[in-house]
Amino acid sequence: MEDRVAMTVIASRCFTAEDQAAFAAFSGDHNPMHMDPVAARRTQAGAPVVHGVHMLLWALDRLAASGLPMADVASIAVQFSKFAYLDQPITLTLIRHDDRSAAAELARDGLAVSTVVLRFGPRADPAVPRDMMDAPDITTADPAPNAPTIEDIASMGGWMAPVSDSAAALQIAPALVDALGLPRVRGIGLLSRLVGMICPGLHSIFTGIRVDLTSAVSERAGVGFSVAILDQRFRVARVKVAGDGIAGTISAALRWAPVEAPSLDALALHVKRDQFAGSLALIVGGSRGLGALTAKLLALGGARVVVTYATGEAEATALAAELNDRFGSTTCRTARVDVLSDLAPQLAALPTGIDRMYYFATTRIFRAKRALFDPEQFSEFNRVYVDAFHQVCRFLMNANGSLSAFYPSSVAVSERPELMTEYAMSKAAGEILCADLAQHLPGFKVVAKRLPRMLTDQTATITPVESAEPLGVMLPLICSVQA
Amino acid sequence: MSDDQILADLTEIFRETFLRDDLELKPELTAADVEGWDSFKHIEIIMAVEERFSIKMSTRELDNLRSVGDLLGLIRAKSPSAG
Repeated sequence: MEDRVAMTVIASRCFTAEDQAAFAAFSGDHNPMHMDPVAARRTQAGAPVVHGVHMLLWALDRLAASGLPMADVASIAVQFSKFAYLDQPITLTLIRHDDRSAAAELARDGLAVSTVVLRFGPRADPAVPRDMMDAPDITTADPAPNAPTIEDIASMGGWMAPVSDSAAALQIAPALVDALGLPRVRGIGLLSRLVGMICPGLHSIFTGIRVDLTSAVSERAGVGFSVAILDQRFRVARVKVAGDGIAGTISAALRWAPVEAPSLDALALHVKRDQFAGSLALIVGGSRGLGALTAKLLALGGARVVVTYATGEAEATALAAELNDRFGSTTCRTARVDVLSDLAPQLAALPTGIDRMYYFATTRIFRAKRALFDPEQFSEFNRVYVDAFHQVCRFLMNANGSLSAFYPSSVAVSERPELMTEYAMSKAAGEILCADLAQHLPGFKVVAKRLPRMLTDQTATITPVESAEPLGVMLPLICSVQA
Repeated sequence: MSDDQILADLTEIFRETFLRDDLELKPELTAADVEGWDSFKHIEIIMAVEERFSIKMSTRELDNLRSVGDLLGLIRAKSPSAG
């Protein structure tokens, strides 16, 4: 069988926030990883991602419009291998096509984010299993997803009724509705709802679909599901699905919930009440993770803190309220500081008298990339980890005459993990800057420590990775900076 | 089960996992040789292998896997029908 087509670009588009909203209304998948920039920032993706099924339906729709015989498709296999982000061009390429099958790839910046394989042939007509047909409708408190425990997921099953009408499907994938019929398009859309809202729900990543298109559509509208495998070691679920003219399995990973700093009561056991009294500390990037932990420890020791945020205003405000309620209303202030935009006016708005500075500003660290070295990524890391750090230090030194600072370098500088060349280079540059500032700026002191991998939102992976305990790492470093 | 048979089964698993019918497996093949063989794909492969060969692999055993040949050897050692 000879390939009729090889590597044909079929279409290209960006997915916008408005597109996301339309897909959420069609599919019923309102997972905040897609819809809420603040919540998405606290996932491994770091920013809102395009629904995988949205990309899939667009790809199938464009393939149908391009003349691929979608009416002859007997099965669809899809893998979602990388995150795709809003407002980034996604390209659909038909990579092969013969009488038996076709394969297409969705890519951003030349990097495959999803692969789709279609097999052509006669469709089977398996009945929807009786237990699914009899299962109760699953409800969710839209737009909030269900958040079952991993133990609960193992035995989950139920039925998803359609959540939208034909107009919504026609808006998302008009040519596909024509080729496959409304129920199948709707059914594929409901798979997004299944993963994002029901099972695994809130903390999930959709990783793959393998479904047959059945020749008949069941009487009951919608899609039934039943968890087939839940592997707790790897936090992976495989779920059987049937209904609306499709039957097969989907696979999903269970994300960890966002990492929260320990409570003040738990931390109070480790800090003396006046240990850091008299100090005013600026914590750049202090709304979550190690920054929030540092703010809590400093406040427990009697210091006042200024917590900055770039996007996490709500988290910073909540942290300030918690600290001010407990230690007095002047303990914590918040300020918006985005180190990737013009810093001078933002720094000028900070309170005076800052004598300590903890620099946790970061950008998305773990990124998919094609080449060993990506100059743009290196440039962005340098802006955050070198240029902005330098500017903040200089400003505070000019304002106060002296400064004790903390620079979080990384074991990546010495351990050199794969695919982190730019990050390691930038952190190494930051270390050199710290050493030279300390040598040449009278009154400037810095603690630059290569931090081990600790469990934070950015490092929380699906697979088990050894992580250090943040309190045990950070407290001695804070004591050094405050000394 | 012979090494050839294990390799044939592994080839099928890899082709299904990566959705690539053209993937040819050799014992010396590593994750660096296959585009998209990341930690998550690794998990999918391991789960499929465990299901296909009716075996379970420990975290320590998985940590030591560096190539298709390593995986083949582990399957041979653990598979009740291997020999």
